[in-house]
Formats: sequence, C-alpha cells, structure tokens
Amino acid sequence: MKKRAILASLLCLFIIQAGRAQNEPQYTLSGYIKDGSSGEELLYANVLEPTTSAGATTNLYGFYSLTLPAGQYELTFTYLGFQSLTRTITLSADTELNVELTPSSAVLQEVVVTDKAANESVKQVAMSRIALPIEDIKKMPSLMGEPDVIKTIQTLPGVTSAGEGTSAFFVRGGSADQNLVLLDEAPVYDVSHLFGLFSVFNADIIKNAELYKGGIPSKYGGRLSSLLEVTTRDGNAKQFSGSGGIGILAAKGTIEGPIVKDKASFILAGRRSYADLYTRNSEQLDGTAVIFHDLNAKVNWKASNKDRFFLSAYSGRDIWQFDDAFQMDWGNTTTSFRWNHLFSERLFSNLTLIYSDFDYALQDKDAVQGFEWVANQREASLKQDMTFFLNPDITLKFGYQGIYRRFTPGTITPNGGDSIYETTEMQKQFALDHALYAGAEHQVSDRLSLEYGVRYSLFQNIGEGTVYDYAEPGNNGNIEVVDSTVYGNFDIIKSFQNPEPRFGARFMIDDRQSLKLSYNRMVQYVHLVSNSTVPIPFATWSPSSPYLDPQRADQLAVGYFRNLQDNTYEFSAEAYYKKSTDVTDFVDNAQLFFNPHIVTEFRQGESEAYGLELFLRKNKGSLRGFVSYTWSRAEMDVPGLNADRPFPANHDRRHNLNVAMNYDINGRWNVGANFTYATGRPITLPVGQYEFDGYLANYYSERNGYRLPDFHRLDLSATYEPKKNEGRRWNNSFSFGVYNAYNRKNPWTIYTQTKQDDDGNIIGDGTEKEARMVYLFGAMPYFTWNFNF
Amino acid sequence: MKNIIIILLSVIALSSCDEVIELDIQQAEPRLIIEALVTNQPGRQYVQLTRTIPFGAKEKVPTVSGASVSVSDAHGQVMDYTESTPGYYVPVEAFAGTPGMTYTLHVEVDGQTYTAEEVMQDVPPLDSLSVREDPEEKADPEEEGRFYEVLIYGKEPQETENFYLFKFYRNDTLFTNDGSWIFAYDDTILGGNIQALPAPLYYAASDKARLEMYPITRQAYRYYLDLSSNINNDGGMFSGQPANVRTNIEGGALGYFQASVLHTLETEVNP
Repeated sequence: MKKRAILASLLCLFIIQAGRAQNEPQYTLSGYIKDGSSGEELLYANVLEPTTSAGATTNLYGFYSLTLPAGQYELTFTYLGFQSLTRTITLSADTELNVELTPSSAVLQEVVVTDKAANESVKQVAMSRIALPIEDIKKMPSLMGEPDVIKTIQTLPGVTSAGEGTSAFFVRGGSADQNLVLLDEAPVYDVSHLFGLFSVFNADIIKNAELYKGGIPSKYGGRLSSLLEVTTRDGNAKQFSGSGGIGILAAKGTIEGPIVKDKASFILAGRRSYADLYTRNSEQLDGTAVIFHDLNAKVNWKASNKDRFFLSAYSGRDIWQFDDAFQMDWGNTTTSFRWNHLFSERLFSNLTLIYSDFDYALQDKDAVQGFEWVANQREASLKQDMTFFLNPDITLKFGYQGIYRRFTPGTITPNGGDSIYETTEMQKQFALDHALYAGAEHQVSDRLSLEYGVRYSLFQNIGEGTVYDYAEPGNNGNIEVVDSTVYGNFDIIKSFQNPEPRFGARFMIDDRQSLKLSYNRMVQYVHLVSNSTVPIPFATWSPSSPYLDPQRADQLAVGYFRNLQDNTYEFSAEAYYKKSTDVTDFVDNAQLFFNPHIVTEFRQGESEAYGLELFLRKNKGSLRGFVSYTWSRAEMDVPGLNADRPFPANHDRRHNLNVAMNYDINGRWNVGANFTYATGRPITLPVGQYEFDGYLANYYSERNGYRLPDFHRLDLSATYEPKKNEGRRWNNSFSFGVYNAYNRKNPWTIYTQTKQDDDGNIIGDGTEKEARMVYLFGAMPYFTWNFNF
Repeated sequence: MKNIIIILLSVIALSSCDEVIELDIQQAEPRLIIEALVTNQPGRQYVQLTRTIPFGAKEKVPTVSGASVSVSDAHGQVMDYTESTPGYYVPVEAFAGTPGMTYTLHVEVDGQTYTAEEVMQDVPPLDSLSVREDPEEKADPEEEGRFYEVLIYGKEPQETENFYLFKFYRNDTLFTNDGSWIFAYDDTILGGNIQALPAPLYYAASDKARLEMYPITRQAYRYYLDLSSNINNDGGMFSGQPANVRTNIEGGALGYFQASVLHTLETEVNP
C-alpha cells in the first residue's frame, strides 16, 4: 500500500511539471552527435546550455533531444576524448541539429581538461553503473594479449570472479546466470571461449560496454543481478578502412566502410584461434584440435533524418576434436534488427526484432557406443521502446517486450544400426515472456533528480508438454509418478506475473558531489541448469514451471559521488543490500543431463548479499586508471542443502582490490599495469574418508566451509605505436606484456585422489588419499601486432 | 557425461600444474560405514562394517567387530549373520535371495541400531561374451600384451525402467581404473539390442575375464552416481559442489544396503 502511495505521488509530481511546461512557447532541439572522423554515433555524449544548465545526453543510438523556451542559446557539445564544440543557435521552431566532434589527439588532450561531461558520474541519477569505452579495455594487460571485456568487468567494484581463466562474473553476490548480457540488444547465453579463458566479444568491433549492477531502469528486466550491454560499432560512414591483429592465440581482422557515404555503412569482423595448428601436429596431442572463431557483421542505413535501420549479427563457435573419435562444439548466434524512428523531435522510437540461439553438440564416432547429442535454446523477441522528451526536466520511457522461448535440453541420435543407443529426446519446454514498462527521468530541482518507473512482467510456461505429478517432488532417489497432465501447443501450463518497481534519486550537494539512492526489484523467469561454480557450456536453461518458481531480488543501494581537481579524479562509494528469494540451486550430486525427472533435482532458497564498493578513477593526464575495492558478503540458505544451514555462496569473497593503471609516456609508448587481490573463494573440503567396495570416498561436513588461499596477481603491458607517417593511412602498433608478472602460483581449485606419484602410478596398496591444489597460469608473456588503415 | 567431465579435467590438466598439499581442516569424528549386499546366490551375501578415518590418514580404515547383524525378508524370516573375519559378517546359514522380495538389514553396534530396506531387483541375463583383438591397441599397447577386447552381447528389456551396476574382473581383480570408475547405468538412452559392446579394459592372452551384472533400484543407481561424483570431483569448478554420498541406511551410518540378482559371465581370453 505504501509503495502504491509513493508511485501515485510521483505520478502527480510529473503531471504538475508537465502542466507548467506548457505555459510558455517551447521548442525542441534534437539530433545526433557523431564522431567526425568515422561518422560513428557517440553514446552518452552531452549537450549543455550553460546559463540555465539545461542539458541532455545522447541515448544508445547517439540521439539527443532538448526542449527549451524560445530564445538564443550557446550550446556546448562534449564527449570524453573529443574536442568540445560550441554552437550558437536561435531557437524559434523545432530544430534538428546534428553535430560531429573531432577526436582529441594526444597533443590536444590537455585541452579536454575543460570537459564538462567528465562530471557525468556525479550528475547523472544512475548509480551502480560503469561504462567501459573499448579503448580503455584495449589498454589493459591481458591473458595472451587478447583484450577482453569480461575480464575487465571482473576487475570492477562489486564484481567477483570464481578464479582466473573463467568468463563467469558475479555481481553483488548474484550467481553467474543472473547477468543479462546483451550484444546489440540480443541476449548472449554463453560468453565463454575455451571454457572461459576468453570471452566471445572481439574487442575490435565493440564500441562500448556498460555494466548495470543496480538501479536498473524499468526498460530492462529478466535477470536478478546485472545487465551488461555491449554495443558494436556502426562502421566508418566516410571512408573504407580496416584493421587487424596477430597475437599468440588468435588472428583477427575488421573491414568497414560506407555503402553510401554518410548514409549507410557496414562493418565486418572476424577472429579465429590457431592453437589447433600446433596441436594437430603435436605427437602428444595427436589428433586433438581446439578451435574457436567469431564473426560479427553489422550494416546500418540512415534512410532519412527520421529513420535509421541497423542489422547486426554475431556467430561464434568452439570446436574441440579429440583423436577423430570424439567432438564437442558449442556457440551462440544472435541477430538483431533495429529501426530508429523519430515520430517528432521529442518522440524517439526504437523497434527491435531479436533472435538468439545457443547450442551445443557432442559426437562420439564409435560404431557401437557412438551417438550425436544436441541441445539448444532459442528465443525470438520483439521490443518496442519509446522515449518522449516531455520537457527539459522530464524524459519518459515506455515500451513493450515479448519473447517466445524454446528450450531443447537434449536429443540423442545413435550413430548407426550397431549402436547400443536409441534415439531419445528429453522433453522440450516452451515459454512466452511479456513485459510492459514505463518510467521517467525527472529533474525535480537543480539539486534533486529522480528516475522512477515500473516494469510489469508476465511469464507463461506453455505447451506442448507433459507435466508429471510426483508422490514426493523433491525425492530423486525413489521417484514415484502418481499422475501426469498433457498440454497441447500453446496451452498455458503455468503463468507468473510480477510488478517490478524501480526507483533512483540523486541529490547534488554542490557542483562536485552528490548523494544517490536506488531501489530495484528484479524477477528472473529462466534458470540455468548447471550446478558448477563456473557454468560449463554443456548447460541448458529451464523456464519457470510448476516445479520452478521465478527468482526475485530486491536491492537497495546508497552512494556518494565526488569529482576532484576539476574532474580529473572521479570517486564513488556505494553500499548495497540485496535479498533474493527462490534462487535456484540443485540437490547434492544432482544429475542434470538426460534426466527425464530433472525437476526432482531443483532446490530453491534465499540469498542475501551486502557490501561496500569504493572506486577512484583518474580520467585525464598521461597517467590514467582506477583503483577499486569491494568488501562484500554473499550467503545462501537453501532448504535441503548443507543440512538446512546457511552457507557462503560459491563466489563469496570478502575483499577485492583492483588497480589498473596506464601511462602514456610520449604518445608512442604506453605502459600499463594491473594488480588484483581477492580473498580466496569458498571451497568444500573433505573432513574424513572411508572405503566402500574398494572405492575411497570423501566425507564432508560443511558446504563451502573452507577457503582457498588468497589470490593476487600483477600483469604488465607496453604498447608501441611508431610515429605516424603523415599522408599515409597505414598505422600499426605492437603490444607486449606479461600476465602474472611475479609468477604467483594462484590456487584454482583443490581436488582429491588416491595417492599417486607424478606419473600417475598408485603409491602403496591404493588405500591412501591425497589432496592436490591446481594452479593455472604461471608468468605468461605475450606479443600482439595490430594494424589499421 | 562422466566422460566429458574427465576429458574436461584432462584438458585443464594440460594447461595447469598441481601439487600435493596438506589440508588445514577440522577432521570429523569417526562414523560407521555399512557395506551390505544380498543376492540370489548362496555365499554372495555379506555385511562389512568399518569407520571413517581422518582425511589423508595413513592408517587402514578400522573394522567394527562384535556387532549384531541380521537380514529379514518380508515374510518375517530372519537370517542371522556371524563375523567371519574382523568387521566382515556372513549369514550363519547360507541362503538364496528371491527377486522382488523386500529385505531389511538390522545392524546393532555399541547399543545403536541401524536399519535399511531394499527390494531385490532382477532382469534377464546377458547372452554371451566374445573376444576380439584390437589392432590399434596391439600396435601401441598401454600395458604390455594387453590388447584383447571382451565384447558383450545381450538384450535390454525396453518395457521396464532398469538400472544396472557392472563389475569387470581380470583374473579375479576388480577393474576400477585406480579407484575412479564405477559402471552404473540407467536405460534412458539405451536401445534393446546390445551387440559387441566392448568392456572398458584390455586383456592379455589367457587372462580370465569375468563380468558381473547387478540389477539395482533407482536409489542404488543414484547411490553409485553419488559415489562417482564424490570420488571424481574437481573441487566444484566445472563439477558440482563436492558432497556426501546418499545412503539408504537409517540411524546415522553411511554406506548402502543393496539387493540384486547376480548375473555372471566368464570367458578365458584364448585368441
């Protein structure tokens, strides 16, 4: 009841504002802000009218809209890393104004000190949100020299990883499947290559990556913990250009250019690993080949000043072949088609059609025991997002999303007539997912700004399908099916609906510091069917169903934001508390593959997470970088697990410290360093052993009752760009560095086995056990050559 | 799936190194372990009582002597057991179990009572075994002289849901691949015709090959899967969290009471 009252009063507030706004003649200035060198739209660029301090920020498509009373204005357009531009304009009618900003070269960087946009972190209502320009990601030292969005995300405050060499990330105590990863608005289900050593995002095609950890606007939903929005470049609209690189892991290339100058452009990027070239010829790894590749393509067409179309596609795959006898592969395919339309200078519309597929396959080529096993999940969705720039103080956002989902947990086909297997299909599952949302960004006064809204989600688990009734649904040992119900195509098996309120507030203490508050409720209707700490690619998802409730989370966050020394430094402190219910987990020793009664393996419970995040970033000067520190806790309480006692989440790490620094020596040499420290991850260790039928089993008492030793690592990098030859477009650069510079043996996991010598021969009579700690990477140097033209 | 995890772990092993460590842990108090089997063959019934030991301990697991052990069937007939060697109990009078019969195990140790119940499972026997030379293995045998495969023939009854435990012996030694492999299967993806399915180990000429097939309950099948997960766990990175093995024993002991018809096939490897 209280919540409803707050919403109602907020609604009144903006109606009053709207009424007031109509008293004097107002006109709207709108347009796109672009990079003058490539024609690429700039996201979150700023336009400011200094006397009234009215302003606007471009959206995900580089579009801004600013409504002002008639008059003459001097407007400043700014974007980090670009020269600011001032335009004088007389506003006497709705006006379209597209501007192009020039990138600031190294020499001009000092000029940018007056850049007002750097104050954005203090001024924006949004909190718990970090944008990572790709240039920053590329400057970080990396494993084998592959710049990696996900690995960079793992260094941010509030984000933990389960260990190095993994692409899973955990945001504010949430599990790995609670992150919605969008590539040009299409969800990517598995972001890992080589089981997580690298992520699927080719840095050469990415424009921006932004992580939302909390205060998530009503426009987004579907996952509990975070949203990672990855945006690709549109391609150079002015001239053909290309780039490429060769590293020790993979080679990659990009070409881009105008189809019609300034009207339509394309970009095409590919990446392929070539480790298989070594392994195929290696005696020891005879016949083993490990390959991954990515292909990104995008075209965009500016049909008119009011209409823009984008078609963006991604396809990536890992292929592992063992000795010509066994093969496994997995990959994502995503496609999104978008239509930006301006109904008026103040009403921006984006219609998106999305298709996303994740699939994996296993093939055993043996005649008798051979089979092909395929599994996938697909979704097709339609999204209509509207932005209405009501007046300079209020921007309204509303829209609808509908998704059709199909889950195929697995189909086995025998190799031939001699096979011991028969064709077996695990039951497919289907769902319809709808959401309506409305929200406002509302500047109440010079000091107070609000962002509020609500998302209403409806999820329908639909047929066809058969739902079994069990005598004891949670018993996976003695399964007794007492009844079953058959549902036809599109019959509704079970529906769930939830209002998801979202709220954010920013109060400016003065020009340089602000306080922020946010609350969001998130609901997640799809569940990853994997019980490992790091999700493996052989995992599918399951819809909410009669045996699986939607997961829900409520998060409250408060923050203090401050910029120092004329925005040279940006500091933030945030504290959060997140309570989640019906979080999905699995019974001990769950069997999640080819189990027709998989619902008996599910367990759901509560999770509680809280923490403090400190972040200091230096944005200007030759030395740039950030320091992030997080103190956090994440605890699970799932009936049926750990003898019904609470236990630390798999990714619960008390302290996390990351320091990333980059120093531009003279415009040609650039050096970087990255230091990471984290409390060791929780681990379940045996506290006894016993024999059963000759096997040596472990006895455990407490789930996640112990911790691995602390993790720390230093990475170093250097990039050399030879002096540019004027008049020639060819540029190249050399990057080299070392991962884990001081060769720290960082524990990855601990496993146990019958006591063996180093050659794997059993020591003694085979009744003794030992524990072994696994280390992944020692000091690993790398070298990469990059070029562009 | 088990194989995939094993392949995965070996791939990880290629890019990693590991070393033996001492665990800094709070060792648990000893707990009773009951390993019990009833079959349809006289002489193939036993109950073994041991206890847990601290993890990594060098000593042998202690046997538990002086327990009172018996098995009763649904008709109320009680078979008393006697301790033949320390911790190893056998029926006083040999008996043959009946398929479909519910058996109840009673164990009394130090005034504590432990019970378990299981229904004896049965399936039709397998048809036969044959022997074949594997030329690839012969060219480069992992173990000297061992390059003969033993092939299994039989029918899997498709109309019933069955669970199996297989044990493979070479010259009366149980094959476990150094204590890590357990051969428990369900029939979800199995077809009806098992033709020339190779046993998972190689034999040398004149080796004795024996195959034991134990039809088991779903609960027993899950017990063996749990045991396999427990033994082959990677610490919870790519596998699930390490966990205790379930039990059908009530009263606080670990272990399992299994009741199966026993089907045995034997052959001598005579190429």
